[in-house]
Amino acid sequence: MTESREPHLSGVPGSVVVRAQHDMDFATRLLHRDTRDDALNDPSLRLTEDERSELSARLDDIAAMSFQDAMERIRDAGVVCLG
Amino acid sequence: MPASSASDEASTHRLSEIRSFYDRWTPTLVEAAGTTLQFGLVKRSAEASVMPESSTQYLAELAGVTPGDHVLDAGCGVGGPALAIARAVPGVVIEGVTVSEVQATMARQLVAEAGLADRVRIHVADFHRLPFADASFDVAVYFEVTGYSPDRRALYRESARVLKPGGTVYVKDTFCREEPLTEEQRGFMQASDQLWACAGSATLSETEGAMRAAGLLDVRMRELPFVDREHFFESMVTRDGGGMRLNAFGEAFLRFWEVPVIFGEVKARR
Repeated sequence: MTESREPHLSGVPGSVVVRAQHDMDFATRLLHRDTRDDALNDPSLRLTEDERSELSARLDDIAAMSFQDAMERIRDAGVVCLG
Repeated sequence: MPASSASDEASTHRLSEIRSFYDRWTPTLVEAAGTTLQFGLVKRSAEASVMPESSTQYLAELAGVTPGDHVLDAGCGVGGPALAIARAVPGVVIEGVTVSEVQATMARQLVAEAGLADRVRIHVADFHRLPFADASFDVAVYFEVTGYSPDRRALYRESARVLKPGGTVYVKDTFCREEPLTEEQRGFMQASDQLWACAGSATLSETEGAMRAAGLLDVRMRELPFVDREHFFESMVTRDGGGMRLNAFGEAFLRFWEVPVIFGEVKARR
């Protein structure tokens, strides 16, 4: 299991962070509730209901930042392996 | 075909591409970002807040614009910066030049609305072939436009021609980082230039060299230390209770996480 080391993204599964870092369209769709669910429903992300719910709260916080800050936090987030 | 005809044809084609680009995108850009179409807003310190108008007024100060000057704004967009300078510096008369008829029409309307038609005039022209007599200007400013020139030496020769002896040319731009760049960075740079219909971004030192080669004197360059990109990025999104989403500008122009550019200025005199 992996998750992000960036404080605002802590608890966010690494699969989501890595996908966002490689797919800007996916990253921007995470920043609005209307497009987020569809983005997170991608089966390749393998998210549980609990993970999706936790993730949505984190992403609401990020979507309240300036767009530049939000994108920089996603871009610069490191991912750690939790074993 | 003689070399000069081929070169003229290429130049006409480039100009036509830039004109089409700005004719197509200017209404979208203005709706999203306002009347100052620049990537970076320049400020006096890291802590200072900045708006497009205050950034332009600071740039005018850096360029050395003084009351009563005759100023060329080469690549004036829809006139936001020219108006900001006219409001800030008494007696200044500004000639703005754009290749886009759409930009010129919008700029003339903004100038008329501001009641500054006697001090800000807008012209449709190629900034390599300016419609002005020799030695017409005290200062020539280029704000984030020199990437549109396929021949910077010719560009600055034209600046030198229209400047009065001792007049100043001032360039504030995004400059490509000096080598070495990775292959990926080079790719981003090329793709970014293509996205914005640019001929290619120069480095600071290439710009300095082109100015010297054009016969300009006292060429000085530096990286600008305090530049705010937040205004630009924020103009790519709209917000509501559900968060933020890309608007038409963001959908079309948000493509890269990071382009290897720096913000800088190059200043010289004739």
